[in-house]
Amino acid sequence: MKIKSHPLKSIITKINHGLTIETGPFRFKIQTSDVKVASYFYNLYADFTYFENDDFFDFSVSVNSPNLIRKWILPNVSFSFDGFHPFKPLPKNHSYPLFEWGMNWCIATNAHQYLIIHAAVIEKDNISVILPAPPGSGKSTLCAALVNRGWRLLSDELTLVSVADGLIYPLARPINLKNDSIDIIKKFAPSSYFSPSFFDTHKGTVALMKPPLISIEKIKIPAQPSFIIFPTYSHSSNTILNPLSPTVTFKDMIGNSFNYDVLSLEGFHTMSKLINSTKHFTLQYSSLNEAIELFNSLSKKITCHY
Amino acid sequence: MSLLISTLKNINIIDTFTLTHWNILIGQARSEKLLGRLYYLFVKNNKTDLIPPKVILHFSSSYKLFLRQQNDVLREVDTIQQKFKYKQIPCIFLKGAAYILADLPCAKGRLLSDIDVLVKSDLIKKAEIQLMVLGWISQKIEDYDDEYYRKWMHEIPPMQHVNRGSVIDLHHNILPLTNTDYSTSRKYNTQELKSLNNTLILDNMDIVIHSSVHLFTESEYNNGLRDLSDLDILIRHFSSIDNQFIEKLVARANEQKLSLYIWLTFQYSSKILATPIDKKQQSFLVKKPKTIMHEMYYNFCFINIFKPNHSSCRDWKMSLSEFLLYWRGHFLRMPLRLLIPHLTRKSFMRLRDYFKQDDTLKQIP
Repeated sequence: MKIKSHPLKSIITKINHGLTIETGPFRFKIQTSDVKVASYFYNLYADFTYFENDDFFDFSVSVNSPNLIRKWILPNVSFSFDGFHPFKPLPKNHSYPLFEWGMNWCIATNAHQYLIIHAAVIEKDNISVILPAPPGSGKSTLCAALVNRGWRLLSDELTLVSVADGLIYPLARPINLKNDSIDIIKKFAPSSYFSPSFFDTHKGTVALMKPPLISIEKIKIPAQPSFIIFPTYSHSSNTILNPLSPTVTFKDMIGNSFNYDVLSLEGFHTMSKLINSTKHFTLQYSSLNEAIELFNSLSKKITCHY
Repeated sequence: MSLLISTLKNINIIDTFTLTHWNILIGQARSEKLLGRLYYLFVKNNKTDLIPPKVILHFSSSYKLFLRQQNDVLREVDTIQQKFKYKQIPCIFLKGAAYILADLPCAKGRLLSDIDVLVKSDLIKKAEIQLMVLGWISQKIEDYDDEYYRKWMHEIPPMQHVNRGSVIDLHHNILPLTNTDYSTSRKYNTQELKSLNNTLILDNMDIVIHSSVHLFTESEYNNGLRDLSDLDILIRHFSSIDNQFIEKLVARANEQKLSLYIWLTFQYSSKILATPIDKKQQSFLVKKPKTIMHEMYYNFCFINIFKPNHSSCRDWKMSLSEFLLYWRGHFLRMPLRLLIPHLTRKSFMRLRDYFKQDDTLKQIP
């Protein structure tokens, strides 16, 4: 059943009792009594499937006031995973981003059937591109722009490379936009849904963008990785794509991985396979339209060396 | 009884589990850090094929964390051991690290938060400096806490490695100076691990005694059930290689004047996890609960505390035993004249930190 097939009011009630949603390979049971969190969730996850009385979920998470005092005085909220509170509480107006970060944390610290890389990943016409990058490099901006121009979103923050088959499994959760990129993407894709902006978080101002419908319709279809591109936004630069050696790519991918060390030998094999089956580049850009044009012509690069 | 305890007692009950059962078991096992241990038990008992793939991933993921940590611990121990040998500081590895070093069955799938090392009290300063040379530094703590540790406790404040993040707890005794059972003259029996450069750990009896003392002097029981399960597995394992083990353990505990802790271990590991303990042997322990009232009090506290700390098991009894054991732990650690100023100071510090913000979030995507 789709979230949006119910009115907001009934979803708020359901979330208050705990509602199980499926995001790619994982089922999350989510619970909050915070009406605002529930309504942002309702809009951002409108096209996702939920299950009533589900007998199995992977992670049970909630966002609530830690106690009665902090519900009313300097209100704050705490994220809980199976009754365990991994972080100290945050101010109440950050509860929605906390909920999304908490879900990321559950996956990154528990799903070691995947090699997990801090990267966005998108796909179009069987060409899939991994965009790893440290925060501030414009990875999410580029990813949000591409998925508004026909590319399918697999993930914006966590790239899940299966240890078993080397394929990338989609999560298709909302895209986390930061600071200046919020207005850039709002102008670029005015018809998309955006959550309100949350100010003064540890990442600055953040807002979430709802993933396009196509990404959720194809959420069960994994992708064969074809490119790894390290993007850098550079003010008023041309769009420049430079090849990157496999060795440097390998090193930088390890640097962006959450659990390469946990997987040890398995991690090495999965990463080697990933590097060997993809082409690697760095991309410098300032114009989103030019960058998208370049991404649309990537299929021609499949046959080139590197 | 909780699903987790039933599974630990008899692994065969999983043969008939539905997804709902698995869901509860995963939640309970995660809250007690027992996912990895259960994975080991599933593999050992050839159960992995019976478990739905999406279920077993939770257990195997946790086991992967253990395998990584096991490597790390072996390497850290080797580093410390070499340095201490060169500087002539005899040391004994305790608890989780020792379980790994001796390759004991209770090490499998078990995660540890620190490496416990015991040195003679007059060598503690020297050992601390050598650890600093290797890159371990004292974690940032309040001056008050630092003084508290050094003056009253049996260990110095935890030291964390600057690059690798591993944490070492350097001990000079197994009990705090203020505990009534504290003794400076206590001699530990050790065994040398030949395959690991003659690294020292306690001998089998003293391993069980030390883990029992540790568990039954706690004031917080976050991993209580896990630690009780350690003792259950240790006793079963040692009894299987030496059928006089229980007898020897009783004699050793009496000699060490730590028999009350062994009585508690026998009582609750047999009550809760069905550890095979000869009741007659248990009666030979010199120190037992003084009166029937004491025994009832222990029964209430420990039977309710050794439960998964999970929403499916929490009740008022568990909260009450948490409260009682918190105070019991503190009273055991220090007499009232020290405890009252200490707790007053701590609650003031806690109140001050209550409105502070956290930066652990900065590491998540």
